[in-house]
Amino acid sequence: MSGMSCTASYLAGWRSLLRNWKVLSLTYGINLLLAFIAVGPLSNLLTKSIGRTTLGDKISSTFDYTLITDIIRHEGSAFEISLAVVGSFIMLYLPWAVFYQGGYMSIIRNDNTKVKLKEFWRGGAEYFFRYLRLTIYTLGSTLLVLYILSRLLINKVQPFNLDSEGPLMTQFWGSILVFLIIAFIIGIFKELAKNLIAASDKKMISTANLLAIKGTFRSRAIFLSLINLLVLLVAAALYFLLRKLIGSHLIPAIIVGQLFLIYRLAYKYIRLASYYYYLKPKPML
Amino acid sequence: MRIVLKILISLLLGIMISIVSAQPTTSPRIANYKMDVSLDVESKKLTGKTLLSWKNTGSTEVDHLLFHMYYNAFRNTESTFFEEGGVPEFLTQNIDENCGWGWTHIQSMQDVYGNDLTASMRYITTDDTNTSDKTVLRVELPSPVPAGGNLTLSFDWVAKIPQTMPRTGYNKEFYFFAQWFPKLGVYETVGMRYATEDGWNCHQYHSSGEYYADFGNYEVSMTVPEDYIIASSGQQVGLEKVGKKKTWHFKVDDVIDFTWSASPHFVKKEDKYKDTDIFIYTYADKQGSNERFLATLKYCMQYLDDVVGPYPYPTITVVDPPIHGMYTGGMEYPTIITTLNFECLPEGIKTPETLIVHEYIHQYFMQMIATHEVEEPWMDEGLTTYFEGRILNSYLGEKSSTINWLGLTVGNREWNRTEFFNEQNPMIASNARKSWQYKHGGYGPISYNKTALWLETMEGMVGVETMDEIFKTYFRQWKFKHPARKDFINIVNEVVARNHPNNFPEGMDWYFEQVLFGTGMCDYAIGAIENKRPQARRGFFDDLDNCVSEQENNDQYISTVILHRLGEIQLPVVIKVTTSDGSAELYNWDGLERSAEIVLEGSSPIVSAEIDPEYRITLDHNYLNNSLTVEEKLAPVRSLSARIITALQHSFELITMLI
Repeated sequence: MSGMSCTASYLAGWRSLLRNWKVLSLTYGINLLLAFIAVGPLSNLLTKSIGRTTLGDKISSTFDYTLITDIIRHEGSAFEISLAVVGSFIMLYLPWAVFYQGGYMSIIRNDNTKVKLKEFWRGGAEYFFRYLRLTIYTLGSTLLVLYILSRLLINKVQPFNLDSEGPLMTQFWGSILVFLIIAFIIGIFKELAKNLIAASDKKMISTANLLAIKGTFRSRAIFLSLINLLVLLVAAALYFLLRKLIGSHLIPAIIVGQLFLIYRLAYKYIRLASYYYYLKPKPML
Repeated sequence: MRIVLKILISLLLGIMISIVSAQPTTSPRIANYKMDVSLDVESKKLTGKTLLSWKNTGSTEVDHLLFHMYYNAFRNTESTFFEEGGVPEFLTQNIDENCGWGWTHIQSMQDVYGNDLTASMRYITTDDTNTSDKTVLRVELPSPVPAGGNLTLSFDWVAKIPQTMPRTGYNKEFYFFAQWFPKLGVYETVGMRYATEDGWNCHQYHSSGEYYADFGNYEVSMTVPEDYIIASSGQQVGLEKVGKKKTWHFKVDDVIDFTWSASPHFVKKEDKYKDTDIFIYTYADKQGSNERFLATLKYCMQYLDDVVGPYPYPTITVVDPPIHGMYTGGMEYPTIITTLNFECLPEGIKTPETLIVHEYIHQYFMQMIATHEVEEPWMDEGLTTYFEGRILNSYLGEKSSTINWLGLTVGNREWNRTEFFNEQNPMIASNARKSWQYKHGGYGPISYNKTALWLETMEGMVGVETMDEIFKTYFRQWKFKHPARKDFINIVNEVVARNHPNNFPEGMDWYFEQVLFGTGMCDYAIGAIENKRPQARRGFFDDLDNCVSEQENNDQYISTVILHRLGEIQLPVVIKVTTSDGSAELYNWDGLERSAEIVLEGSSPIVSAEIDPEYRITLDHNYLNNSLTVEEKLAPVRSLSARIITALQHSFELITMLI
């Protein structure tokens, strides 16, 4: 199930992204556009509440609990509607993310060539329903794990029966660790499955999923995931460090935030591509 | 020579005696208790012997006594305490397994003459008609206590300790004894508080409000299993080992109550503030917060020493209960307080500091000044909450004294304001209600939060120095005397009128009428700003043959700020008006009418107006309408929107991690 070394696969993923940077621009643009539209009602509410007051400066640079609670209390209905709009867009983003990962896959599969953006749209449409099913399975599995762990934890949370909060905290952090490990494993499975589904012409994804499960626990697959994750963590650490240094300066804060967001979108592409190159020499199907 | 010597010695003795007798006892010491109690951890029972000496300070003889039998509130679900909904279900859901209900019962009672009073005892109700409530016991006296006379009684009693009931009881090996022994009510004499004739003031145990008792000295001996450690009101004065048990002796003078806790797992930490010993009792795994407790407590003690008056007791004890004893956390008792701390919470959540400060402040208002918490809860909880905000904001910062975690910052006074205004109906009742009369809600927000808000607003009007003088005077005049609201109001009026003869020559009655006795809301708003050119003179004036048509003066503006009073509360307010040349002027409005205006003439139009620019009127429930600008200031909104957009973009991508 493996060809290139982990490092080579990872670097090949980067090269693929650099060749097809337009697809990253596209997904970034759509992300920005959706966020811009989603925040519209909230922005209007803020304009109405504080646009003609002297309070703006208080609220724009730092968190001001008093003003935020006053806005919520006095503009309650409008605030709820604004939040509902934001929530709707978050839900809308889920199918879009399924779609764009199909688009990414299609571009990645064109290997070392520069691909036109229409391939992105075509791949997104082609893989959408198969990736949606995969998402339902992985999401279901993740939620099931979360449910089981929280049930185990909640059963322990009977404060009057506890001798000390120490074991409860150990259990809590233990559960977080278990969840992260399982989420990590599911993450490897997802990337393998997406590649294997794309490599297969079948509408059914069960065979690809079974192969992906088998491949998930291979040390090189795990190592590749760790490389991806490690770079993401370094980028995240750098981002939080810069945010701390920047403080409340708006423009630099937004620039750094956008750069980190672009990296997060790129991370999705590189991760998917690195597993493609990891699997490439000996495709299973 | 010997005669001269005798005279000299007599004189010297006389002077010494007079000096000693002239030293006032710190409190009237009306009800004094000596108690020997024994804790049986197997049967969960306390057995006690009490020797009570009481002084009739009234002008008439007393023929009966009223006792609080607090533990009977936990006897069954039909007590007034339970019927008022004072016990959350999560506390009682498991107690039926162990029959964790509790009760107290006086087995026998005698006076010093050997008269047995047991037969004359009967339960009564003083606040309602609930005959199932057995929290007040009436005892007839065979021979009345004359005015100024003393009474000494001894009685044996037994109490079944409740499990996980509000503020008291046991769970596992943790025991907390609050409102735990048969305790005499207060015999109020004419002139005291609202008394127009001498009589007992002894309320049933309600779910809200606990404290009102006479001052006295307590000597309490507790016999517990030998491995148990005791945290208690007062000072430890002895410890004896008898077989497999130990008897701990504690003593405290001039207090209104006595509280203690026992556990074999307590770890004690000691420190000192000036002459006061500080003791912290907690479990081994919770010692991580001890330094936070100590630093906060010392800061708070210093603050109140400076601003209100000295803490006169030799000890202050803090109990940080274990997680299974959290139902006792966040409470105040004479010289002993409890906190409620979870080691798992991040340090930015300031609950330990908040509770330590809040409960310690009660040593002044609940304990030393000793107002009637049941009848006038605001005088204890409200004043305490006001000082909690002052002290915590001074200690931890105005905007970060409640939460300072991951960029989320909330100040204590901010939190307090939201607690009151987010109440479903903040106008549901005035502050003048008794604690159990908040039948449809509002006890906490009104007694605690609203009081703190109107005291903060008063601070905004009269200044913090005047507030300090008010509280210093209040403490000096009313320490150990059980004042009522009129006494507090009189001091406020006296100090404010003296310090602010021009602004408030009559004091603050007008204010108390609105905020203490009223239920109205406070909301001032800038209604509009208009900038107009002066009207040019046109038309016929004195000369009917001359039609005047002057040119407009384009260098001048007549600018008007319209002020609105949207709420019922009327306060003097300050308005900051800024003109286009950047200059700003402050204007005063008495705030009485529903609307008013400020008119300015000059070459610079008004660009903004702001009521209460320093946010001193925390009672104002809407800050959004306190200011108005002529032009829309969209830059702050845009920058905030940009931050929200970025956060939302990242949220989108966070969600896609699931895919």
